[in-house]
Amino acid sequence: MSLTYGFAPWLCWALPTIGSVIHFVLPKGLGRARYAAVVLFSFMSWVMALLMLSSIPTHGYEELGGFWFSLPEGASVGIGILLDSLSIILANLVAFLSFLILVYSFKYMEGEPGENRYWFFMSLFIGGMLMLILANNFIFFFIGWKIVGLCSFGLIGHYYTDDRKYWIGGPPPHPFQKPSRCGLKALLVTTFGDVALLGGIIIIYLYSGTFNYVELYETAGVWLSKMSETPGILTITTLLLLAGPFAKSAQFPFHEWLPEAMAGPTPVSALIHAATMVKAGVYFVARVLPIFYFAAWVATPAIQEALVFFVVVAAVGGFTAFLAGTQAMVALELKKALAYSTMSVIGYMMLSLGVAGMSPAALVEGFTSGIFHLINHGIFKAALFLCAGVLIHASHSIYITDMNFSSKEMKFTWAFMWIASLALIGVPPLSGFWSKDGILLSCLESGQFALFLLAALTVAVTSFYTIRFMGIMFHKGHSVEKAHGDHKGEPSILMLLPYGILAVLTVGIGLIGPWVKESIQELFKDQFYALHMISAEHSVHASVSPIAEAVPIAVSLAMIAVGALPAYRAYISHKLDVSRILKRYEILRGLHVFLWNRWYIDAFFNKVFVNSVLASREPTAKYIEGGIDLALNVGIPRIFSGINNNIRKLQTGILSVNMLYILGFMLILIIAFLVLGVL
Amino acid sequence: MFSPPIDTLLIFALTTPVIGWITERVKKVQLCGAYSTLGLVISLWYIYELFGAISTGGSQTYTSFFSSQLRIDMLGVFMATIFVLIGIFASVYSLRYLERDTGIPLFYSLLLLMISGMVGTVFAGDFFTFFVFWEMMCISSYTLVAFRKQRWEPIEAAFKYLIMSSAGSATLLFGMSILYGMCGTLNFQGLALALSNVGSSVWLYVSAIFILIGLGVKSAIVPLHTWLPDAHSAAPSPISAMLSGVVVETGIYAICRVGFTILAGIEVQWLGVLAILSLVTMFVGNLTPLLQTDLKRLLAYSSIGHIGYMLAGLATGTVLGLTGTLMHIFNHGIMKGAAFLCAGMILYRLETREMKEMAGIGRKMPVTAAIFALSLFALTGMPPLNGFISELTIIMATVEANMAWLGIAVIVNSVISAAYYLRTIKALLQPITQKKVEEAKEGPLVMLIPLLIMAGLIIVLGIFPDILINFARSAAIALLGGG
Repeated sequence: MSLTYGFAPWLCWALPTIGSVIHFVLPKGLGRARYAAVVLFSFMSWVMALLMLSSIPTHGYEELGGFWFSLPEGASVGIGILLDSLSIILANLVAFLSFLILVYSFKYMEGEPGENRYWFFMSLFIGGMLMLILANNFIFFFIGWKIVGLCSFGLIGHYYTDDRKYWIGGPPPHPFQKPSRCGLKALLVTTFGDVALLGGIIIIYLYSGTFNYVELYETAGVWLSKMSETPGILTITTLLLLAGPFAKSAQFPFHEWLPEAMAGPTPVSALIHAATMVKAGVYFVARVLPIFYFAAWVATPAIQEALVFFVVVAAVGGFTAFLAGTQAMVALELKKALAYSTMSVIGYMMLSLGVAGMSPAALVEGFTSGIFHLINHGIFKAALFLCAGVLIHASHSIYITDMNFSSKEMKFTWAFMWIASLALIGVPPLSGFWSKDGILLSCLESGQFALFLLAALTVAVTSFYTIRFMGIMFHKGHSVEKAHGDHKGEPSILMLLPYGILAVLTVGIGLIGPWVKESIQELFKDQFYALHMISAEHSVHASVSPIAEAVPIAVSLAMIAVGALPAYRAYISHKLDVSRILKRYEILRGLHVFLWNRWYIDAFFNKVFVNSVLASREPTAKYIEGGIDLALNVGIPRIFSGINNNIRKLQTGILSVNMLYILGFMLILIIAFLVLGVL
Repeated sequence: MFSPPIDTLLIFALTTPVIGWITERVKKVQLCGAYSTLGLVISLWYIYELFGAISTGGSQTYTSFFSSQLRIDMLGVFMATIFVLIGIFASVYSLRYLERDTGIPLFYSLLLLMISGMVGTVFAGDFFTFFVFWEMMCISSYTLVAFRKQRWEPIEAAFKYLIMSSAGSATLLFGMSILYGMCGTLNFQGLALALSNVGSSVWLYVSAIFILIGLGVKSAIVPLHTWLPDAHSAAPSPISAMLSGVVVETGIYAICRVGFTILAGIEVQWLGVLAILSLVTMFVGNLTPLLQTDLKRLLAYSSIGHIGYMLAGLATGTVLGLTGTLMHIFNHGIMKGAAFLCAGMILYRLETREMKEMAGIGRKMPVTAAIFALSLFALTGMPPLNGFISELTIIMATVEANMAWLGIAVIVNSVISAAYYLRTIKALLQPITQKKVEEAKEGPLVMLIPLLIMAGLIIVLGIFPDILINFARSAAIALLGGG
């Protein structure tokens, strides 16, 4: 046990895991104070994360070993922890956001059904998430990964009774979805990715003989060159490995579960589907990225095949960013709009990590911006979701069109939500601006102009949809109806405070944005040298001329304006009438339907995977199952009961017969010894 | 005298009746049980100290009356640990289990004697000492089976057990005397040395056959198993746990000790015989209980199946195989012990062993039922529980020794056994039909504590098997030598 860190990293993930059952153990008489205990455990976990934070700058990386079991070929699997800048930063983010969201839930979940279950899953989820971040090997990581997935299944389907009021989707005539089905869909899609991921891990293990990250980094030269001897293997491994994070982080083509995951309670959406779980995929890509970078740029001879990893990550990320952003432009449900936006922003992160490996010039910039964006997004998107929860409660509706709030009644909520929204758009000097600018810059640095254009276009899309939903909710223009008058006004301080803190942080990080980015950048540089054997020569951080650096800023600001102006005129100042424009232009109407139906991707998946399975149901039952059923469930038991009836006759219960058996046994032994060659 | 652990056990066994006499006067008989539990715990401590001494300084030798000799090596310590451990569980459990019975001091005294007999058996360095302790274990176990003497069933079971086991002891003695006649010594090492000079002769085979019969009766090798289902189901449940979990395995230990030291010269032949016996034993042990409805009989038969697995590991004759067997002895002691204690708990509440009459008991006794299910899953060999690890080791050992057919038989038997284990679990979960079940409640805490610890061990030894593997491996190496 290292003295520098003490028990902090272990307690960090163990505390929420223990906390998940604490409310079952405490006496029922305590009432909701039991749940406060869960929050307390999460708080302590955050404190542990903070303790780790103090030791980043002085250490490259540190491994806290723990032995668990060893495989026949000698590789050991440990419950070990890897502490480097990446894991410590993410652990802090996750622990902090989780704590705030749990505080918010304390008030939010009051009186909801199944509260015990809710707190169990939430706390276990946090433990699993921290476990996967802190793990030092694939196996321990994968355990956390699955815990997170299963908890998310439980939480999305929290209202598993499928009462009408918990349905999402619609409004009529569009179909609704029930929470239990949404949970199942999330589980199915992510499990598909998980299985592929496990396959990738096993292939890597077969070549490298280890699951441990540090060993993988250190021996990357050896096993990668072994792998590259057979062309295609590296590509297959890459694709398998990436399917896991893509499914977890809702990237194309595994993105269809996330919008429907909004069926869970709002804090769940905030915690799982904005702040943490979907980031697990980004984390994993960042974790394995150095290996592929090493293969493509450092190893001699360079392994060209490794570039596939970066191309796929960047292309999928960029495409998803655009795809999801356009869908958000027409969304009517508040949480769904936020979900699309989450997918879109995660697409940015993936894009950033992808371009990081496409050219040595972009490595540090791309990697840093990706992670910086992850941090910023975690903070402002959690704030947005928490605000959304308050608004949905107050308006009793999930549709933005039903919401009609005024900035006067909910001054703080309004202000905080606007701050978070502007950060999402990337308005300077809020936090989102700096990281988004970094991403655009790294696209340019790596020379990926097409991706740069796609990303820039998405900026416009983002600013359009953000202003659209904010405008519809808060700036209807006509007077506020007093239909739900009782619920207007600020929520309880316990709910207000968490997103207030987050909004303040968004501003705070924004104000010192360049400095924060600089320090993260230094940390990652150190980490690359210490841990990943990627030295300075291999990651040329070309000094970009001021003009080149100004390009993305200018483009980004221009694109914000391009998206914001029509949205402002249509939804805030009401100079444009959207429905009239839609009526006039056939093509826009078509586009709207196309976007509303999510580019028909969901329909396509349903047709191919769901309907085909359903169609094969009857023939399977008739032709295949019947026979097997007869053989297995009737035939085999009959054989065994026959044997059983005969063999039971051995047990006569008559002592003299038993004594005869002794003689018989002696005879058997004599014969056996004779047969085995005595005489 | 006979090394600290045995001395402690004997002293406590002899003083328990005195303590019992006093505690019966003051109506606190349970104190007597606590007293003997204390003896077991102290003994376990001494065994731990022996473990330390042996792991640094090699085997320890003690000489006592009639120049009887104890030679304690890692294997002995390994076996003694599991004996005393299960003994502690059974003894704590009996504190409440026997509250309606009379003669509790006698029970504890016999229990301690039986355990000291077993520990003595595994510590013995010569055949004479071995036999004395062996008989000590046997005689106290007959009495313990018949402990509830007011009913006929235990008496009949104990009588059968007595007759068959005595016949076994007689043949064992005969086999020993032939060896003595051949070599003029009863010391294990002396015998091994003398026989390696003499080489194989017909008399050696005759002696081997007689010894195998003697040990085979105790370890319930088919077709010498017929006493076991009666005795194990009629005994009080803590005693069933002891009998199934450790007493039968003493026979397996004896086969190892005698086989690998004394009969090393004819190893090929008797290993072959054991392989065949293992096959027969496991199939009979697992096919017979398929339709059994008496819960404790079902568990008793399953013990025979597990004896078959242990023999399979032995029959490989390699360090890995022996490691697997020893691990399985340890794990089976815990799993089967837990299963019998759970069955006892149900028996304690419902007074029935008939599975139909306990339908749905899992709803009323959730903790017991959960531990029961856990132990049954472990017995089936389900990962990540401890039974899986040891069965896997045995299977790997058979493959390594080119006896893959035996390993496949173990797998097939695991599958067959799953049928009746799952049937048992199903009985626990069915809808409640009997009024008695409806009124039942969770068992007393004193009885649950040992069960909870055993359940913990089942899981922990399944997930972190390395400690046990290393312990079993060093025990196996102590017997076979080398790596």
